[in-house]
Amino acid sequence: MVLDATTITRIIFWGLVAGSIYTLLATGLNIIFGVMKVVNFAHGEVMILGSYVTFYLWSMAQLNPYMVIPVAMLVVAGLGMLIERLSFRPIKGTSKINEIFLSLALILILQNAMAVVAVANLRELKPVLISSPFRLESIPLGPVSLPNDFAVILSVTALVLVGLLLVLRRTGFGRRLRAVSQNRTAAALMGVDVERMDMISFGIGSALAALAGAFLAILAPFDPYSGTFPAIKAFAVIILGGLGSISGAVVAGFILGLSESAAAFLLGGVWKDAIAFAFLTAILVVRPEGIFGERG
Amino acid sequence: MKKGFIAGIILLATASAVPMITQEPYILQTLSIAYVFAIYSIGWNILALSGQVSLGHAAFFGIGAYSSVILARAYGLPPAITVVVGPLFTALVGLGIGLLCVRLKEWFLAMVTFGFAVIMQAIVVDDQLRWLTNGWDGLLAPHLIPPEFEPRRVWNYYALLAATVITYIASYLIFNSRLGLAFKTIRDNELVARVCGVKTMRYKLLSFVISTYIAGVAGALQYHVLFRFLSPEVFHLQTSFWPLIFTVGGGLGTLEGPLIGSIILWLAWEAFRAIAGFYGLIGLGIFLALVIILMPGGIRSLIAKAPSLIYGFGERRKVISQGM
Repeated sequence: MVLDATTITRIIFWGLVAGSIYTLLATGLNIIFGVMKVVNFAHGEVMILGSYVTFYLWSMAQLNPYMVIPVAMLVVAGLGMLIERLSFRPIKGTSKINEIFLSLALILILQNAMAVVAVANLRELKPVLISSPFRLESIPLGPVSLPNDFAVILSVTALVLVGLLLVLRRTGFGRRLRAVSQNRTAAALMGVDVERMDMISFGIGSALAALAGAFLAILAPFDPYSGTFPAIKAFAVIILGGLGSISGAVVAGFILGLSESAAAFLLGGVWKDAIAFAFLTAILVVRPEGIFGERG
Repeated sequence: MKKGFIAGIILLATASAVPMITQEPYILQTLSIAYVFAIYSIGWNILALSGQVSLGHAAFFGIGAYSSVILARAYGLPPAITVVVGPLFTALVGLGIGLLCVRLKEWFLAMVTFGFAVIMQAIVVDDQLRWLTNGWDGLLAPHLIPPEFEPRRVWNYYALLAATVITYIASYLIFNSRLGLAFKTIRDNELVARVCGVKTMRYKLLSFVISTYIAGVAGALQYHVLFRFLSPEVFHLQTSFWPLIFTVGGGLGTLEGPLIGSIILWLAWEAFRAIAGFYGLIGLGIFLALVIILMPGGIRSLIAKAPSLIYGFGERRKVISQGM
């Protein structure tokens, strides 16, 4: 393969877009983990739920898909809160491995429920795609061009992340949320309703996953099973960035997106998935607490 | 313990009697798969016993299958020998991964092991190794049971049952020895273990070696006995999740948990899927969620409680919840 300027820019553009999806997923997982100390392995299925909700809203309303994303985010946030209330709250405090077990049960439920709906509506279980109105347009940047979809995805991701950071840093709600992540008991003693914070954090995490899912649906065809792997990689991202650190997750998410994109171009598709974990292993062997994690 | 021994004998007698009652291929095949899963989960449980949770045992299951099949094909060794010898390579790889992971805990360990299964798949399908592994096309595994033993599915069944009994006895010996005690101490508190003079690093590596060896044997048996066709699909993430589902569902860190979980949950899985397809799997997911919400100690805790429910007196000691 010849590495010319065009190839390199394509690698970088794809890497950035994939990085946005990983970052959104990882940030959502990170907020949930920060508040509840729970890892939801079914986060990828929540993401695909977002893809399907966006897909159905788009195909029913015949609107620009980007316009229906906020509605999809609200719907999925509600479902996420329901999942937290019905499944994670009852087993809280038993053990971490029970939470993994529960996530695997949730994966089964969500995947097959989505398969049932997809089969009922599309007659068969085939991957579907949202076709964006900007599909064929792109912004010329000197010798290369940035597809409009990529530009929208990158700017929306940036806006959402900045907005989220501002809410967390500057508002009373954000302060309460951070208080619960830092010390649950102390926050409860100060009058914060920690169980409501659990539900809200799950809602925010699910909404971010739905946003990632909508982007995924615009970029590539998806089916009910395409979420598991990205979610586990997003989990690797938050470990790499240091558990609980949002800026760490952003940096690690884009590093992952770029290195995967480079690996897919240079080494072939199979290594795309492997490279992320090779990277993770190499870093954790040197720094067992992650890049931005605190030594403890 | 005597009660457990009697229950075990009854269970074994029932299991041995199945082919005498029915030789329906579907029933024998489903039960045989449950036995392979039981061996696999018992192996996984030994690693969990020392407090180390692996989300990537598919790697070891797959390496065991590949090394055994390759040995049998390349040197013409009988599979009965290669299923025991081949997985030694798995144990060696397990030792290497254990060395990498010895400083890692909880999620960090879980992610590195998970990633190792993904990396293994990429290695196996890589063009450089095509001469050995045949890439995505996979390999045909020689039969464990020679053709003159008829009917083969009954012999398959008994071979796997025997392997399960041997693995279970090995696990029993580990649980009731200083080795098992050391593992449990490391799981409960590594610092205390070290103060008590347990060489924690050595024991953690040992549990990696034992666990990955057993997982390798399970993989080799799966392909030499049940599914003749070995492809890189074996490294799929679902293969890594099976032992966790069965062990935690049955009772994590207990001797009988993985066995009970593999048999009951696998049969439930097959039944749900056979009866209602996608809807069945949704039902199964709800069933699994209810199992863990109502019985955080696994199905085993229900069976352990059964006498007290019947006779009205229970064990005084509470089951201590197992940390990761």
